[in-house]
This record gives sequence, C-alpha cells and structure tokens, in this order.
Amino acid sequence: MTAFWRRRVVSLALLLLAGALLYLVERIYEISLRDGTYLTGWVLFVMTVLLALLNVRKKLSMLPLLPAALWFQAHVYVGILALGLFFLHSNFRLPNGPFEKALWWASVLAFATGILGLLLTRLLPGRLKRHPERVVFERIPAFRSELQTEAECLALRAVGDSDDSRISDFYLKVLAPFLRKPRNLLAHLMGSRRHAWRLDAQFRAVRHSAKQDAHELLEKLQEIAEAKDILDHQYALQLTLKAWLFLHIPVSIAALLLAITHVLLAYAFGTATP
Amino acid sequence: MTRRFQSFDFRKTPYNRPSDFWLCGYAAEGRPCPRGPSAKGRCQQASECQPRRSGDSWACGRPEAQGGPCAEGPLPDGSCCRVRRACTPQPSLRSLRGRLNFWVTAIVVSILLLSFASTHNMLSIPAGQRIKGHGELTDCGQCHVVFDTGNWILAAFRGDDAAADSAKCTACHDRGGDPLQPHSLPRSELQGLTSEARARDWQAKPSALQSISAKLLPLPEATEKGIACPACHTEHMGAEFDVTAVSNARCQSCHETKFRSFAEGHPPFERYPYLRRTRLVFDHKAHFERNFAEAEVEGAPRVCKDCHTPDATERHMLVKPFEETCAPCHAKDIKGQDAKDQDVKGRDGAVAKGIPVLTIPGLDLESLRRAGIEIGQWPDGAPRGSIPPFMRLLIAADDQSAADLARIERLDLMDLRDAGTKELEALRRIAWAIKDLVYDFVALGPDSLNAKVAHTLGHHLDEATQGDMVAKVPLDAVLAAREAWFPQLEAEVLHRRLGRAAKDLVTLPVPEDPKPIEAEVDSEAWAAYGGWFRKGYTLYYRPNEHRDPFVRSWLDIAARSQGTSAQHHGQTLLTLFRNEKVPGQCTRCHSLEWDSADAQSGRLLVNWRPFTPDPGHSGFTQFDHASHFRIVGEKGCGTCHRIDAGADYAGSFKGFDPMNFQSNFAPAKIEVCSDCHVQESVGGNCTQCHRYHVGSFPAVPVATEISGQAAAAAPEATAPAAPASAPARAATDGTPLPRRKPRLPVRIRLSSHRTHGSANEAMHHLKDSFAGLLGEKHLFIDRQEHDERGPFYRLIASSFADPAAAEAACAELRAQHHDCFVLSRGPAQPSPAQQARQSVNRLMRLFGLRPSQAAP
Repeated sequence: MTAFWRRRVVSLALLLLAGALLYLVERIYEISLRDGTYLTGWVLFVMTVLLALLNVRKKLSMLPLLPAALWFQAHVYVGILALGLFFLHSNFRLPNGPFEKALWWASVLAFATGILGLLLTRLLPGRLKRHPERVVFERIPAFRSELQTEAECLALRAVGDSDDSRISDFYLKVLAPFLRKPRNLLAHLMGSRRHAWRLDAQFRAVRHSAKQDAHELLEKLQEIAEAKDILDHQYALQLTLKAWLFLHIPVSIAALLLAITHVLLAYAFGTATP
Repeated sequence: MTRRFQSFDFRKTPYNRPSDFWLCGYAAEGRPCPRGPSAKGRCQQASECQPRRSGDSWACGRPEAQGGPCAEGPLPDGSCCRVRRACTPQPSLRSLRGRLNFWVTAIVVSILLLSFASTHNMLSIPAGQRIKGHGELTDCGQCHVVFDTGNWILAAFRGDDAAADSAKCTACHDRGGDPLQPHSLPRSELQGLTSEARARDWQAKPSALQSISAKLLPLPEATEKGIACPACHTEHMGAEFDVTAVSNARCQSCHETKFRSFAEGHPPFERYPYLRRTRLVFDHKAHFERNFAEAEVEGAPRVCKDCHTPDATERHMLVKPFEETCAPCHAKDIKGQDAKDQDVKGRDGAVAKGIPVLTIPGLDLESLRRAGIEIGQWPDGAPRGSIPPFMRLLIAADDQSAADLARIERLDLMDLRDAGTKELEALRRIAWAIKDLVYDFVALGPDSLNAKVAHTLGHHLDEATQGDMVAKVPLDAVLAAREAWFPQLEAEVLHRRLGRAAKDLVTLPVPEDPKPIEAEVDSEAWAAYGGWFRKGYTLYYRPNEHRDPFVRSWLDIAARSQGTSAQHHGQTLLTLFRNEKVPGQCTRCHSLEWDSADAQSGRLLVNWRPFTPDPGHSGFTQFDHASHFRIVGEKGCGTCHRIDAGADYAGSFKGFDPMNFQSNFAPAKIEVCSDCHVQESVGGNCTQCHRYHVGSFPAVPVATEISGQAAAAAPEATAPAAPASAPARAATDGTPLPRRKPRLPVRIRLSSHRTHGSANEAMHHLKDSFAGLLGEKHLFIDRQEHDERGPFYRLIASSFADPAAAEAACAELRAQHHDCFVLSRGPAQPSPAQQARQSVNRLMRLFGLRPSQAAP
C-alpha cells in the first residue's frame, strides 16, 4: 500500500470513528433528559467555524500555521463529518419554518458545492497534467495574445505573398474569432475533442484547395491553433477550479450567518435543557 | 513539436499578483506594467518605465520582460520618454469573489434585520409550523415569555426561564398542581411510588448507552425545579408532528432501574391489570362454576360480551347495565319476592318483603313502673323486637344517645327485671328519644330527620338525598302509625318539653281493648310493587327496583357515618343490606371502600357504579381493548384474562382498602404482550401503554353567561329590523365584503381577589367572564404573575375590532370589584414614518441599545 492510500485509509477510519463517536455521544446526551440538538448544534457550529478558518489560513499565508495542504485535508474531512452531523441535527428531515428552511438549504448547498469542489480538485488536476506544460492561469491571456499576434502576422504575410485570398479569408472567418478569446470551454471541461477535429478538418479543407507553397504557412497557423486549444484547455480547467468557490464561499457565508442567528433564536426561544 | 509557452526566468516574465484586487488592463495583451494598478483600481503607470538615477544621469528602468532598456533613454528631467496610454484596470477573480461575498453577506444581514424590525417582529421569520392544535396561537408571546421583552437577543445570553414558558403551556393544558414535577405528581407521592418500586427488588440489564449516560451524565440540575415541557414536547416541527412522541430511552432517564426494551427487561406484570378491587363484587369463578355451568339457567350469560361491552372510545370494557346482566337472576332478590318469613326471623325486625324503618319495640312496662322509670304512655301490645338501624342512626345523632343505645343493646327489652339503674335510665332516654323522633317527624316533617342526619354526618345533605331519604312517605301513613302507637304523643312530648313531670300529665283513658291496628288486607301483600306499609308496631319500606333511591340514600348516609358517633349503627345498616335474606341486598354487590377524597376521616363510600372511565383522568397505564379484539384468536378474552382458581376473591372485600385485592383472574403475562410488542412489529414504545402525566385533568368548560347571549339577541327580537350586516349582505346578494380594520392585540391586566375556591379557578372564571363580556373567542393568557395582592393575568385579546370594548368590559368587571386594566392596545394604523421609527426602536431594543418598553 502506498503512502497515499495509507493516508486515505487512516483518514477515513478516523472519520468513521469520529462520526460513530459523535452519534453515540448524541444518543447518550439525548437519553439523559437533555436536548441532544443543542450538543450536535454546537459541535456543528464549531465545525463550521473551523471550516471557515481555511479561508483565513489562506489569507494569512505569512504565518507558520501548518501547511495549507494539511488544512485542506482537515477541511475536507471535517466537512464530511459536519455533513453527517448536520443531518443528525436536523433529524434527517427538511424543517418546515421558512427561516430553518433557508438555513437548511444554505447548509446543504454549502455541503453540495464543497463536495463538487472536492471532486473537481481531485479530477481536474490529473487532466491538466496531460499536457506537458501547466500554464499559470494569470498568464494565459498574455500567451493567447501572443498567439493571436503571431497568427495575424502570418495571415498578413499570406496576403502579401499571393493574390490567393483563401488563407486570409480562412483566418478572418475561422481563426481570428477562435484566437480572440477562450473558446470551447465546456467541451474542454467535458473532455470532448470534437471542436479540435472540426478545426483540423477545416485546415485540411483549406490545405487541399491552397497552393503548395502556402502549405508551410498553413502548418504554422495550425500549430498556433493547436497551441491556442491547449491554452483553452488549461484555461477551462483552471477557471473551473477557481469558479466553484464562487458558489461555495457565498453559500457558506450565508449558512454561517443564518447559523449564528439560529443559535441566538434557539437560546432565546428554546426552553429545553441544553 | 509541442510549443512551450512559459519561461520562468524572472527577467523575462512579468510578475503576477493574483491576490491583488485589480489587474493591469494590458495584462491580457501580454504587456502588463510592472507596478500594476493601485488598491483602488487606478492605473499608476503613465510610461513604460520608472527611470533610475545613475550618478549625474538617468538610466532606463524598463524590465527585461518588457524588452529591456530602451535606446532613447530617459528625458533630461528623469521621466520616461515612452509615454503610454493609461490602462483600465480589471478586477481580479479574487476581487469578484470578494464582491460577491460582500453582497451575499449584506443581503442576508439586511433580510435578518428587516425581519427583526418588521411590525410583526419574529412573525416575519417564523419558526417551523405549529401542530394543528396550536394553529390559533399566532402571537409568539403567547408561548414565549421572552418575546414581549423586546430584546430576545440579550435574553439568549441570559439563559432561559423554562418554568415561565411552561407556565404558559399549563395555562391551557391543565396538568394539576404540580405540572412540572415528574409525572405531574406531588413529590411526596412520587417518593412513595419510588419506595414501592425499590421494594420490588427488580433487576434489569440496561443497554450500554443507558449505563454510560447514567454514569457520565446525571440528570440536569434544572430538573430539580421541575421538568420543563420542552424537555419532552418539541413544537414547530409541522402540523402533523406528534409532540407527544418520546423515545423509550428518554422515558427511562429518571428511572433508577433501566432496561433495554419492553421485550427485554420490562418488569413483570405482578398484579396488572387487577391493581384495585372491582367496584362490583362479582365472583366470576363462583358464578362460572355454580351458576352458569347449568345450561338451563335462564338468562345466564354464555360469552363474556353478554355482560361486557366496549365504551365509546373502545378502549375500556364496561359492565353492561344491571337489567341486561344480573336482573334475570337477582331482580327478585331486591324486592324480596322469594323471601319467606322464617328466613328473616330475628334479623333486625325485617319481615320477608319489607325493611323495618320505624319500630316501637315492646318493653317490660311492669319492671319500668316498679323502678320508677317514667316513659309516659307506651303501647302494651308492642312485640319483642329491636330498634331498626334506620332509627338508631337518627337517634344516635348526639353522643349521649349513642352511648344510651350502646348501653341497652344487650338488654332484653321485654324482661327488665335484672336491668341496672343506669340501663333503665338509658332506656328511659331512648324511649323518649323514640317519641321525640315520631313527634318531630309528624310535627316538623322530613326536615326533622334531615337535621338529625346532618348533625350526625357533620354536613348538610343535598335536596335530592333529603327527598330520597324519606322516599316521599305519605303523611297519612305516619299519622295513622302515630295514632295507633302513641295516641297522646303530642301532649306528652309538649308536657315534657315544658319541664313538667310526666306523672302530672292528665292522661286520657286508654281503651282496654284498643282497636285493631291491622288493616283488613295484608299490607305487605298490598305493597307488592314496593313502597311503605305498616304492620303492627313497625313501619316498613319495601324496595321496588334496582337503584331504589330510599335504600341508596340511607346506605350513603350509613357509609358516611363511619368515623362519627353513629358509625356502629351505620355498620349495622350496611350489614343489613348485605344479608341475602333481606330485600335490597345492595351491599352484597356494591362494594364499600374508604373514601379517597377524604382519606383521613375514615368515611366510606358505596360503589354504586361499576368502573366508568373518566375522560379527565390520566393513569399510568392505558390499554386499548378494541385494537386487540382481532388478534386474540380462539382464546378470546381468555388470552389475557385467565381464571385463578386459588385466588381468595371474596376475602378481598372483607376490608375497605380497594388496593388490597385478589382477583378471580391471574395477572396478565408479559409474554402475551411481548410476543407482538417488539419494535420491529407493532412497536414497543413506552407511550403505547404508559402515560407520563398522571392525575385528573378534567376539561374546563367555557363559562358563557346566558344574560350576555340574551342581550345580544334582544335587539333582533324587540327592535325594528336593522339593515343586514355587511357579511350577511355579502352572503345573500354577493356584495363585496368591506375590508376589516386591522385587528391589533390588546393587553389586559386581570386579577381576581376572591377568597373562596382556588386562585386558578377564580382566574379562569374571571377570564371566561371577561371573554363573555367581549364576545371574544380568542382570549389568551399571556402570562400569570404575582404581586403583593395575589395572582393576576396578562391577557391578550387578539381580535378586537374595537379596543374600546375592552375598556368597557374592564369597567364592568371593576364594578364587580375585580381588577381589570387595559395595559396597551393597538394604535391606529401608523404612518410609514411612524412604522420606520418603530422598526428602528425595535432593532435598538433588540440589541439592548434602548430599554425595552415595560408594560405599566
């Protein structure tokens, strides 16, 4: 067993153990004439705060607060544990009050987007590695711009070299829009290559009708188009890896705010013994 | 060949700052400026480089990634010669995320604050739906004390007042005087039950969780003050939620001996369900063996349901009426139809078909004369006999007479030669007491008897019992008896009461051969259908039906005489009616037991009715007979009710303690129940068979004053026909209903200072009166408080159309010397500015920035 799998097994075992322990403690608490939802509620609240601390940790990168990877691991496992505890706390049912419903849905969305993010962070990096070079996300627009400039120069040269307008037309109609901005993001995300085959077919069609001396230029243009496709691939996957946080963090904030209000309401109006 | 994009040479690549909020507008073109935008998103780079001073000259500072130092170099003033157009900085992804987070936070907080500040405050963010029964509770303050304080947020940090909220629950759900104590029982009673349970020495094996919980988590300290309602009942879980559902383990939280489940560890049924004596004495075993075994016995039941039937709820099995069960065999015993004179000879003067009520016992008049005992005229021909228990109960109203009766009890009244002086004196007083009794009965009527009985029992009888006690005895019968027994009674009694010696009374000559006092027809036979008849020197009563009011009232009197000076004579009367040879025989079947309502007095009560379920009573256990009918199979009732051949059923009725009982039936076997009652089958929840709240919690009916109804109806009857009301018009001609004025809660302080009855009763009565005056349906007790003058209610009337009505109703109650003040009432619809100000105030109060408005 590799170290990776050993770590996974140990972590999962600890997770199951902690879950079982929490369940038993809640049961014990419940049968001692106390309200177990106060216990699970507080544990859940503390877990939520711990989960939120990951974002704080990322912002305080200058402090020696253990490696971020370790924080992320803890975030994942505490999140899974919190998910189970959340359903235990809400008695495995959708509450019926509008406020509690809002809190429930916000929490469920936070968990769901968290799981989505976990899946994305586990699946997409592997696909990013398929290309030998992993481009820094912030530099992609610059590289795309470079490719666009280079292609534009080639297209101009083609216009100057001959009176055949087929290459320039092809550039204006197909390549320029393709190079101008990220394209086929969804296809890259889904792992589809149809757009690449279609572009390749278009190149072959132009090459077939173009003169022999223009073939070299077409090959260069196709090389640029393939490089742009790689950039799109990198962009689509890296953007997804960043964009899921646009869902996860806002709903988590909403859930946390509603949870704080929920705690206040529970203590102000709930009269069971905590 | 695969193109490689990046170079990680710091001199050739720009420095990326993904954490910045703003990115250079030229970054997308691959030529971002080295400084980047400012924190506020403004371009800071007007030229391609920032020239640096080098000695006396300026050197180009363009970075390698931007192409390195330019050929032209800086201008003489040290500025860059390559001016570039300012870019439009773009927000970074992080910036966009931050903005989104900010707006989400702002929106959520705003919604919450707006909810807290809204007119209906918490109603804007209501908790979960209430159960159907609580659907009318629309104001949070009706259940939550903290709601009306205005700043519940601070209350969340102060800690809750569970008892105060629970008091609001029990204002509607009456759970007796100790509603929050375990099982709603007084502590002393609970301690008694605990001691009983400990004495059983029953051991059970708890589950691991129960053991750990008991060891690690002792009961919360708050339970010392009582267990608040929410400990077991959870609201706001939906209209259909079962608020009474409690887990088995939680039920056992307080119990010292815990067990796993009903099937595993529940204590055996030691006596269940035969914990107390049956109210009717009916020996099933004896009847089954001796009476019902003969197939020819007419009217004998063949199956259990011939005598038993489910009640309206189908939970309990009742005994059918006498006429449908016992009458075929025992109706004639009540009338004494089969009784013969020899059967009853010597039994308290009874004759075959009548019970002696008034008797003039024969006396040894010669011996009395010789001893100088003056008793006036006494019938010479009165036969040997004793004073019937009815008379004894009446005579023994005072201690002296009771003592005299006891003294002469062993005398042979027809032979007083050996009687001592004291006995003879006692006999003299008794003889005059008999005369007084007869005289007063004729002269003053039945009230004279009532007064004596009331004196014996220590309290007055109700009018119905007074009437039943004399069974409407005709005056002629009494007059005729008096004329026959004591012709000079009036003169004698008055003479004596004036303090004159009896010997001084000029007596009328008594005929030597008095007229026969017997009627020409047999009076006993004449009273075949019951009633009064006189025979010789005795006035008899013959019961004519089951539930005979005369016999019933006297047996009640006799039972209640226990513990008084007349208890011995009461016992005699009770014993008389247990005699199977005497008509009536009531107490043969109707058992006597201590009166639990007055346990210290020693008084008894006669169980006139078999078990009758009291819908207001809640016991520890419950059993639904009807739901088990289909599953008992061929054994039927015998599945659970098995005859116990060795039980001494009759012996259980020798005393008066109803809990001292040996049933004809063996206790139910727990295995019979646990075969089905496991969690996986029909369930094994504690609450299927047990109730938590124990006691009598009768429903309190609404007291609607009829006068108020009449007043409301009067205009219709007397005044000219008024125009139809808007709702009525709407109902008939489809006219649209006018929009109702908003109904705002009115808070009233209401208190009663009645001195009799319980304070709670008084307050409930007053609240009902107030509701009646208003014609108000929804009148809720907001809270009950106390001041130096006693308890008072804060009420909320939530649907006043006109708050002035509350003022008027209060004025009327004040005229009746109650306290009633309108504390606050809904103002007219506030303007938007007022609403906004109120909202701000509400928010400030919520966070404790302004003192909450306390009700005056």
